[in-house]
Amino acid sequence: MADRPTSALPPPSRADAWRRLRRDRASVAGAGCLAALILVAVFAPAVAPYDPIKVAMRERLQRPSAAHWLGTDQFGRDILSRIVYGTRVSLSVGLIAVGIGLGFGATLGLIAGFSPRLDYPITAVMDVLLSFPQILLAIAIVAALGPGIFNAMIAVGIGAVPGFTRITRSSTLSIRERDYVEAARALGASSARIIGRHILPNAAAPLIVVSTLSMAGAILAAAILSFLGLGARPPMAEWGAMVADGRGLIAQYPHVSTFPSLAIFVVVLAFNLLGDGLRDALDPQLGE
Amino acid sequence: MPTILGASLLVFLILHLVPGDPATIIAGPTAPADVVENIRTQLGLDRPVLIQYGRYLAHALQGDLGRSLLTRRQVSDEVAGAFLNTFELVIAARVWSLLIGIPIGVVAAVKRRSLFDKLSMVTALLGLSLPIFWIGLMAIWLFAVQLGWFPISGRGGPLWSLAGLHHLVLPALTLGGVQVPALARLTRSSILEALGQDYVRTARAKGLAERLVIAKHALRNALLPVVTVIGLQFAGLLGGAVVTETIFSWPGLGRLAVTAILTRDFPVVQGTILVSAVTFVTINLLVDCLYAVLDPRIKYR
Repeated sequence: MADRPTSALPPPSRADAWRRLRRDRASVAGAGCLAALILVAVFAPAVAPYDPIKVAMRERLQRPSAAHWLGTDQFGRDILSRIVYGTRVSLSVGLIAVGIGLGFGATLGLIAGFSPRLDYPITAVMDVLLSFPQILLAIAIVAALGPGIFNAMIAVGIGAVPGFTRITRSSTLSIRERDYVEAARALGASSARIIGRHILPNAAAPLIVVSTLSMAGAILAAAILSFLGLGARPPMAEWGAMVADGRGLIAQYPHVSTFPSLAIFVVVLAFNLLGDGLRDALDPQLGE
Repeated sequence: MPTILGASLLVFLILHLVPGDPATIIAGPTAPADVVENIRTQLGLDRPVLIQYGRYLAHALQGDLGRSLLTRRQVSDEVAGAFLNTFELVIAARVWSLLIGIPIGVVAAVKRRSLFDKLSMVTALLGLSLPIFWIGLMAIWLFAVQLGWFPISGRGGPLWSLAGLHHLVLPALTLGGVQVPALARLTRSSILEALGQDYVRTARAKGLAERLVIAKHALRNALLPVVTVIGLQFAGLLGGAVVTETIFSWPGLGRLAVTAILTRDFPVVQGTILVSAVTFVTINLLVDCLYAVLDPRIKYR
């Protein structure tokens, strides 16, 4: 990085980044979409027209109509209502999984970057975790904990830890060599103060970007676990599980698995758009 | 090598922290206590965990991964068959996604800001967010149900047979399709960066045809990051294979692993995950070696 002439530029100020982000139509669209989804999740009981888990066999497998905008599944449950409630599940899965990944990952990364003695063991363990394709690691953890949406969140969260550790470690390593850290140390600042006042604020930008993009990945991964029958248990309204419900019906009733798939698509796209925009705004050197 | 050892220890530990006792599962819920105890001694489950791991490792190095709790077959036999099927699927997916993804990225970069560039990059962004299971289900719905071109699921036979190829198309299309958007985006940005370099300006200045500038100077230099991602994407391919195999009832490692988890058949879970991790590490090693071929500046001691 050091040999790139552009890296001599000071990092953008917060106001700069904010302005750039607001000018980017794609990330504004992503953010707007997410705001709407959060509202839907919070007010799910008011938004959903029906009870998401109430079985009504007489209304089973209806195609989209005025009464059921997105149709019904094989148990006569209203698909729109299930998707609305599923927003709650997916957003909380993303938040908790990324929270686990960020919390443990950033802490371990800081320790590894700050303490040469602990650097090697932490990096070695992370390399082992990274030697598993993420979904397979999550599957192994679910195998141990047993299927269930909560265990799926933990599994996806643990899978996200090594990525966060790596980024935090490398930012810490580069920031602690900067002159202002040197100066702070010379003035007698404690390690805790250096971490809190200098390293964390300066390492925050990449962590924000990766957290946002990881939300997309975590929601997708949890949906995959549920689709495989390793995540949410019936009758919970979870998108991946809903797609699995419609799997055998794809020939005659493609709507049963299509609408929940589209819901996953929209959330993941929104987080990807916002993440891309944040990256461009916070680190203009990475852009075109 | 230490990574693989660590991975095997991790898999072993994860599955030994499991609540639920393998001896009870084998004996069945109604078995008397002394039978269960007998099985436990036979399998060495009464020993300390580290000793069990040492024995497992010693056996694994000789190709013995234990026996399935359900079928009583050798895990190595079950895993070997499934591994070959997954390998077939992953390679087919890899090849076609490279054949599509890289050219799209190159053309988009060379014809920057053209309609093709804009269209393909918007499509790639959208494609990046599509869940793989939906791509698979849509492929079944369109090509198998509506058009009837390909079978809905299953493996038709060996790769060289017509039925084998016929069955491979849809799963490979699904699994590879997920990788195309990221590949195209990365190739594009990588080429764009190479095109801005001094050596490209020099090549142009000395009057080299634009086609040669791109093929010989830009592409070759842009390939390095692309190769890294090709290696990293194998994680996505192996993970995606789990979903693809489930959708298409493809008898591979992923489906074996999921079935084994749902039936709590731990030796099989252990075997499948271990083999996947070893495969992934090996692939990354091969990718590292490929660097040296592509970039003579990198030397390995």
